[in-house]
Amino acid sequence: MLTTNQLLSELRTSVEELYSPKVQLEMEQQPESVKQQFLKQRAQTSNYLHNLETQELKKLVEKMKPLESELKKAIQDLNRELQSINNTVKFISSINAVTRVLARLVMIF
Amino acid sequence: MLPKFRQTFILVAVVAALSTGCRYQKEYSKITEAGNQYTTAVDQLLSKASDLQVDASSEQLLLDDKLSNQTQEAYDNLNKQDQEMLQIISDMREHNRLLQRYFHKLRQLARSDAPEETQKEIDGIASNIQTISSRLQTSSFFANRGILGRVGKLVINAKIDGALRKELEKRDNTILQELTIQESMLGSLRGFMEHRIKLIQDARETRLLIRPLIDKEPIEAGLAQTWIDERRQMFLFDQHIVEIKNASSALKEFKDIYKASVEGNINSARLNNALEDINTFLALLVDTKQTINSTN
Repeated sequence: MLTTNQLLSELRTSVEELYSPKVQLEMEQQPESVKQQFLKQRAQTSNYLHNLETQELKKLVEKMKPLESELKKAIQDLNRELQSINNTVKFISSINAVTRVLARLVMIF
Repeated sequence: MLPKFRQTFILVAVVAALSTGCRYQKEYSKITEAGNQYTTAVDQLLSKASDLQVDASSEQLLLDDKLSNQTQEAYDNLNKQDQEMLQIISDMREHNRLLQRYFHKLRQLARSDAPEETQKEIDGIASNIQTISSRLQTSSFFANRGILGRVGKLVINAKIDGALRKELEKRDNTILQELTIQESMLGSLRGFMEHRIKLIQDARETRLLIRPLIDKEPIEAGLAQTWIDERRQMFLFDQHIVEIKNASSALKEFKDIYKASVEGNINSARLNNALEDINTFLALLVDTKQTINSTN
């Protein structure tokens, strides 16, 4: 039994062959009935591949979703850390402002 | 005696701060930089995958039309498939943006200018107090004012270092799970994109090179150079795709780099190499966009 990856690989190769320059140009020379039959088969193969590809990628998105809440929490935590560090700098800066005023005052008196 | 004691105390504080904090900060800064670049590269790759999806399906529809006149229904069906795929890719990009924001915040923390700001402010405080002391004719408390500012800087550095280390250790499992899923995603995208590139290349070869050549009428002299240029572009594009495939391994390696960083088993050289590889990959992706556009 083929794995999804093997099936994907085989289907892709088939679609690539069906759209290859050689096959395309050859089919363009065929009667209308043959062209119609060929187009139908080509569309079916492409649709099947599309369904398999969307299934595979959707599964990955489903696996990603549960991690989003933790990532959002991590971003919030980091915002808090950044805020805390900025507050420390602001606090030291306000002490600097006070001592600057004091230094000016003692120069006056 | 007392001033000497104070100087010794400050020196001990400096050495203590140096030995506990900032030791890993450079590495942390680089891993957050690599994380930023990695998520940017993944975003670009997903954007490229969307473009390839639409371009490949357009080429397919044009080839179908050459065989038999296409209907509105066939066009709508193709649009529906494209929209479905673009939505999935958009969901992936949205999720990746969350990881991008996480690394951006980490980088903000690692590259904060708070330590320098702190040093500047404390130097100011020391200078003001010395002015007050000399005016009041008291002994100078700060024999070396600069040391206090530097200690302040080191303390804030250590605080940032601690916050970064705590965050990386705390979220280690989540980020590794995330990167493992992304590793699979990159594998899937590789097959997805290679297939569409092949379809686009073949369709363009048929449309731009083979059809004019096998047409009953020979290629007009005035169009010959354009035909030659198109053919050369086609070959250059092939080489470019090989380069991208090789460079894309940098993205897959990011998980190992991140893991080693959190475990403290990485050196600056390896981190620099990883950053360089991701940047090369990004540059190649931008280049591909230009190459594809020039073959249109």
